[in-house]
Amino acid sequence: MSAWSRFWHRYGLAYLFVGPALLGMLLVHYGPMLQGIYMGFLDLRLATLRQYLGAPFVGLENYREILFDPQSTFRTGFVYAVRTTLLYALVVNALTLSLGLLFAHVLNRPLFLRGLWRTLFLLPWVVPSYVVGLLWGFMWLKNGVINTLLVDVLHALPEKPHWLIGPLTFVAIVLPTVWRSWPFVMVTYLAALQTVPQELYEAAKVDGATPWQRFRHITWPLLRPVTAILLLYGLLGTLYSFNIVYMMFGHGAGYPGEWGDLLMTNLFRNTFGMWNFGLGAAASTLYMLLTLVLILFWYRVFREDLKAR
Amino acid sequence: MWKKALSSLLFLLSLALAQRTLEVWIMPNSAQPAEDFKALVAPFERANNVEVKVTVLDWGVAWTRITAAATSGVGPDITQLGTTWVGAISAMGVLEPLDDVLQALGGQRAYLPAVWNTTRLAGSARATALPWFSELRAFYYRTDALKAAGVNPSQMFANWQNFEAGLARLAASPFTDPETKQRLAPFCTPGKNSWDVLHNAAPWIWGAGGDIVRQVQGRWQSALNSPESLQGLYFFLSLAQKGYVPAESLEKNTAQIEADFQAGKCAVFASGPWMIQRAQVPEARGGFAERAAAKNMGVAPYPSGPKGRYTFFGGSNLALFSFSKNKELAKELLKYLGSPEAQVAYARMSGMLPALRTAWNAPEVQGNPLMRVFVQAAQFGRTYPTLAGWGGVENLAVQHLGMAWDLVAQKRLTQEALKDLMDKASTAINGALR
Repeated sequence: MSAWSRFWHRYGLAYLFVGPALLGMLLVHYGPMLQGIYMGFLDLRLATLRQYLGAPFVGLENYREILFDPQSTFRTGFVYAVRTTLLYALVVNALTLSLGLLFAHVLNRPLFLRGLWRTLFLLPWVVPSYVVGLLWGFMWLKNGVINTLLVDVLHALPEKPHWLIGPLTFVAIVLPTVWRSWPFVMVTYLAALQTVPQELYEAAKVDGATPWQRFRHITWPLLRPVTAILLLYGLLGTLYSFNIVYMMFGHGAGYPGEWGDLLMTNLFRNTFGMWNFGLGAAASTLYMLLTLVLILFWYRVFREDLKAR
Repeated sequence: MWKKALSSLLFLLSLALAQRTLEVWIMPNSAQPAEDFKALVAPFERANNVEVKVTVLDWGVAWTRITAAATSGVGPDITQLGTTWVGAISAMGVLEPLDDVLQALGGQRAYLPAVWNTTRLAGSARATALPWFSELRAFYYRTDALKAAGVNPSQMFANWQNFEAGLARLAASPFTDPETKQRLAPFCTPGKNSWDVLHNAAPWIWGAGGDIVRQVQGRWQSALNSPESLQGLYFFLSLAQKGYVPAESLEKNTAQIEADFQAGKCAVFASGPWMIQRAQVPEARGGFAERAAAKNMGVAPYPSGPKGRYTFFGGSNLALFSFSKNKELAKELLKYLGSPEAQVAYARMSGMLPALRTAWNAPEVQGNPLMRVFVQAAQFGRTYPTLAGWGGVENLAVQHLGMAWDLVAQKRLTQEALKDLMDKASTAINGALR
């Protein structure tokens, strides 16, 4: 039997099953991605749009303009967008992981109507993100339901603030994102918590460990692999966040302001609003590389947790 | 019997085979866009044995679909274009010249100069778009609220000073809406969350003698930071900072402001002619005929600024793609859609103003006193230049005007802050126009 036959005999069926998915990935994922990277080297603007991939090749000129030309129109609002996106990723992920872990613990205990609570808590997760943006956009209005609750009902604030204008915009984009994201974190943590052997807790109790010590030395180490995956998922979701901000501010017609504009909304406006497709493709490639660096950093931090045990 | 049936069948079959097809893309211009358009072109279809297939594109995706068609060469014969898009699509070199169609409809004299400017890329000798309908802005006001405040509408909308004085009297008036029993806000206008941020600001900029962009030694440059533009913008924005515009309006979009007027919350607001049609339609069909706002509604042109009276003039045109396989037939359809009869019929359906000047003499327009004001206001209409890169200019202007509205909402707008913002806008716009 030749080596090829042995290989086919051993792995053939597996490759046959994986093949269609691989082909699909190549066609709908890697193909457009490679095309996007190539477009970043072209002078692709409205005037050259008809030439599409035949537009003039300009090498690294688009990258030079984005990185080193302070007069570039493409960089309008860019610095604010970077700052807001990093803060947004930090705050949203800290809040979703904390809330998710807390409620997973609560729902992992015997509780009256536990199934109902789990279902109710999961509901925000099934609402599409653009609907979340649209709904919260109405709720944050000066005379919207949030101000009515805070000022007219609870008297928690002396007057109704503008949530969609100025620095408060940051709160207005963070809370809906957390509201939609934490149920997924909760359900993932809940599933992970149910795999922790109860004997460990019982042994720790016998040894006199406090609840905090049991969490610190048993639960948390066993949840680290799940936390790693959730953090990666959350980081990618927040760095590439678009729908909520886009829908909240005049359905994309308006500018969310320096405390509401994220990298993706900034990129979208400067690319499609300005018809700078070559520059937009180059900026997308840069963001992708930046995200890859972050993922590498993430991998170094959680490498040990991700090894099969 | 059988022979007769067979020959009839063959006749119908030959008719079907001989029937040609034209494809048209339009945007949702009326309550039932596809049905209304089919009803509009039905006489043309019968007369020419042609089927007109209509596809309705949402405004949100229309630009992407039209540029994709222009790039790929696969698309409809005819497409609707917003007047500010004409320059960009014409610059792509994919539109058929339409000078012969426009000549057949009366040429330049048949249209207002503001409308005629939108038929081509700025500076081009060749027309590439046929004006279809016009959209311009005027002020709607509550006759009962103005009367109660002792404000004469013709005086209030005469000039900027009177306009502000009128708003002050409305602010002091104890008048309440008969339905809501609430006092009316003197002036409602959307802030930054609206798609027409620039359209709302432009009449004030022009009224002070300013401009959004202007040609200097043959090159287009931003004029948003000129003293005149700043004067007009500051006057408009400061009306909100002085409290004549309710703070909650600044977060709303155009549709929400229109709804506020319909619900009896505003004494004065600016909008297009479609509100007149809605005021005649009952609430069950999307109008507000039953409301006090509809029964007490007046229309006035924009007040005159220090350098004249202006209003934003927009609307939509029709263009013929050069890859169309039925160019001659498509041109016949364009002539039909540009004819006075079809113009009036579509204006009735869409609530817009016909683009053809002679269509304004129709009883539907002249018989309606509110619509007559729009016709008068059209004399002061002004359009943006149809530059290939206008989309980028408008985008940057909207973004920086949005920041100015942020300052207004925080009551931090000063002339210096506005100048600083418009300087930044101008630098960015000049970069885009390079």
